[in-house]
Amino acid sequence: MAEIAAVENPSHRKIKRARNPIDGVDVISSLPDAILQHIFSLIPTKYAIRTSVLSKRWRHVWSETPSLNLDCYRYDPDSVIETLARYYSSPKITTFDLSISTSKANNIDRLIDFAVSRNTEKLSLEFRHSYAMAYRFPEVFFTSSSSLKQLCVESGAFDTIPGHVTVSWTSLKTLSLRGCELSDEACDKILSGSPLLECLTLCCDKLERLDLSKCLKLKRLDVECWENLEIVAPRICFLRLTHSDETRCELVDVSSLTEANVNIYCSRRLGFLYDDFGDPETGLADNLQVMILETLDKLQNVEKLTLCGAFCLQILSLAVLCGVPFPTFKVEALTIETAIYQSIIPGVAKLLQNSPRLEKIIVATVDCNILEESRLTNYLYWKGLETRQCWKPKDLDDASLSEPELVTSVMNFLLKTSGKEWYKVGSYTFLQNKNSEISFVTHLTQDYFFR
Amino acid sequence: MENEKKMITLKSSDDVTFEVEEAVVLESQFLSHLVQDCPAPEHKIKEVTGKILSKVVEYCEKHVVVVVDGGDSSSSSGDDLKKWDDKFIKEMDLSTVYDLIAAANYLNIQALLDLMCQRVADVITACKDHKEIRETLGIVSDYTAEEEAEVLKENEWAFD
Repeated sequence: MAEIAAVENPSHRKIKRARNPIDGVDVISSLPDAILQHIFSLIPTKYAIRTSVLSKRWRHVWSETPSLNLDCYRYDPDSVIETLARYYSSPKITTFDLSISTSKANNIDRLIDFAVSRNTEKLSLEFRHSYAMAYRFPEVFFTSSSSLKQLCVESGAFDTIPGHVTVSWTSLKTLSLRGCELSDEACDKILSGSPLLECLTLCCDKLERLDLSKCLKLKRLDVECWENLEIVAPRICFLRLTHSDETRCELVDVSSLTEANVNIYCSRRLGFLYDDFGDPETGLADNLQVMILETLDKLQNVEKLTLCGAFCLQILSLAVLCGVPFPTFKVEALTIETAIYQSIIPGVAKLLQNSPRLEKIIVATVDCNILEESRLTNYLYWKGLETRQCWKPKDLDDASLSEPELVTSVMNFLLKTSGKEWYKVGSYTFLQNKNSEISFVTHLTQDYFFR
Repeated sequence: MENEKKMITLKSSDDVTFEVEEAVVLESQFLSHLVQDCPAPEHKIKEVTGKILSKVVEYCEKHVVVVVDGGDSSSSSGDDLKKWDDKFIKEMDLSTVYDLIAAANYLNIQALLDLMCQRVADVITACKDHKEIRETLGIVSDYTAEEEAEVLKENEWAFD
């Protein structure tokens, strides 16, 4: 028999426990500081500080918790800063989450100085009321944050980084800027100062051209465009792209992509009223087809593709019915997140037909904005197409229009249309997800599922 | 899949034995090193009682099964696992949680440690003040009234 005590092992962590099963003495107080601090790292720091009053054992435990979570929006930043300065003793902060109002720029400066001086690794800053007064970071933040590995900023301003400041984020791997102002110049500065960057999330104003060709390590890009944007990203493997029908995002170079998630949604007056949609003078419907197909054209080589929203699929349907040429895809796993309407069927069917390597399809039904189908019908009518014929393929059993029957008949139809024999061997599963919507998952064969 | 699975016996401090598949043992960093270094069929874990070890084994068995079946990482298995974790923890009294924290720390099972710490974290945040935390967690104060007032005053903002 092997006895643990006899084995020396680096992973063997000795536990001190003054456990007394007879009088049931306070076991939690006998846990090592590191565990109590692990617990504190899961809660707002305010609650961790409260434990200082539980007993002498707990007096200083919080002050070495390597992670801080401070809501200075609800509490007076001066008191918080004083507490940190006087009592917080950890030389290194692994995680620092801060939310604060931008009306207190001096306090933010001090907290950022503090984060920088304690070699913070993961910093998350959420600025509120930023629309009134954007916060601009002190120089030290750009020049001295060499231990920073992960940075998330919500509603900060990066539109002007002074010319003499050199960004030196030499450890940074993950950067997320949401609701921020980011100029092309500042973006270039940040990127050239972050040589290890692997993962970038941007949802920013002012940005017009995102050139990632010099980011040698960057693999993942998540971008939501509010204005027209050009993306040059020859090295990224994963792209999540979100924008509305009113913005254009040109994928100049995404030649290394293997996985993409595209959500082009309809923002214009909720999609239900889109008066000028089929108007030959505006050419809107034509332009949208071109835009979406241009994006898809750049995604021909991805292995995993996710398309979100019925709108995008509706436009694809129009393109199919109007005979616009479709690219052929190398996709192996296709996910479609959509609401089920007849008007998405030609688009989805064409996607399946043009994806000869497809091994797996997931259709997840979600609520989403759609174009009123009468608008589509008008457009097709104007194009000289008989719409009834288009929307109701003769194989589709459209007697039942309520889910899940509609989903089932649509899926059966799509699987037949794809030209593969899947519908004979595939296994179908209905998944009831959290919002009690219906997901429809189909796998090629049982073998695939259990592989 | 059909190959005979290697079984290992774990024995608690109070000599309760558990026969588990090797894959279950590998959930514990500590035990997987132990099994590699010392290929005996039975291992005594002197630091953990039978009551707690049975919980550890239950947790590890559940998590092993799900990882194997959900090889394709379908989201439903993740959701199911989370539901199972919630139920596992909901039925547990705090003294068992403390013992499991100690055991998970000793055996180096990070996911179990995280789950148990989250439970304590939830208890702390659900309390309206420090007195309630003290009562719920079963902590006896050794402060005098003056000392306590002083500590309270240091970081007054955190106690509002």
